[in-house]
Amino acid sequence: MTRRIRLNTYEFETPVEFEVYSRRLSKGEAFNELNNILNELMRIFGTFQHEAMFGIQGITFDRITQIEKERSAAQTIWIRKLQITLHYYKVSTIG
Amino acid sequence: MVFTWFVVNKGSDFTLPIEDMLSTYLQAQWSSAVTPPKSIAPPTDFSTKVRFGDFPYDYFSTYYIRVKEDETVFNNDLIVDGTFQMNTAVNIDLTARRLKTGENFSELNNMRLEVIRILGNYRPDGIVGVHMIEIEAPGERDIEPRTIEGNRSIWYVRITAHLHYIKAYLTS
Repeated sequence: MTRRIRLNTYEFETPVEFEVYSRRLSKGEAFNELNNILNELMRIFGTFQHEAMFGIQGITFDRITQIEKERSAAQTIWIRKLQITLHYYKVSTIG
Repeated sequence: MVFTWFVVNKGSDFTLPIEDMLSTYLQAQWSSAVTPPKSIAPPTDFSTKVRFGDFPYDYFSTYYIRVKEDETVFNNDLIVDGTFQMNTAVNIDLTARRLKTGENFSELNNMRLEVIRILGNYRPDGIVGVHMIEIEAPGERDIEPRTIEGNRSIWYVRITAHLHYIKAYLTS
């Protein structure tokens, strides 16, 4: 989403989705490791300080999807997705 | 540094999927006076009693309740110092395999009322760590036919429950 908040100043929100996979045979086995990976991503982005990535003013969390089974060629994998949104501003100057 | 995650009031992180915990809770609270009652002698009583599961369709049961997790969302206003308020939606699909249309599905309606009763009487930490359950529009939807995998037709009602909990971590 883009919003013009002042003359030549634009607010951007860019969603980023993390797809977390686990190649395990049973649902119960897959859960703990996927949960740990998601916990770590939540910790990292939950403690994000502005400008830790240059220009990014903040990060908000959107959602985590349920565990789903995906079948690729001869493999069963479990997937959960975490979506976050990065907030930043862009300014255009006339030179 | 070690980060230890826990759910508030539980002391540790969840070890089971939310859908499994809610399904177990519903089965534990299901009243024996409800028609149909829950299955107690599987698979011999699947023709008259309710079976719980998370798979899309049950070939063997007349009455089947699918408890399936949906998305988890965050309350971004309350993320402070490693604390996350979260809300997981769980779809509770009540289904009946009956052949006639226009039939009075008292059993399906009884199942709906029983789920509403259980969720409506939920007390904090009935599922340890879950401090609140909201019910989303349980009475707004009529019993509907639904065609599923294999071109089979079933009758179903959906109730969505929102489970609220707070996760946090300690650093050591």
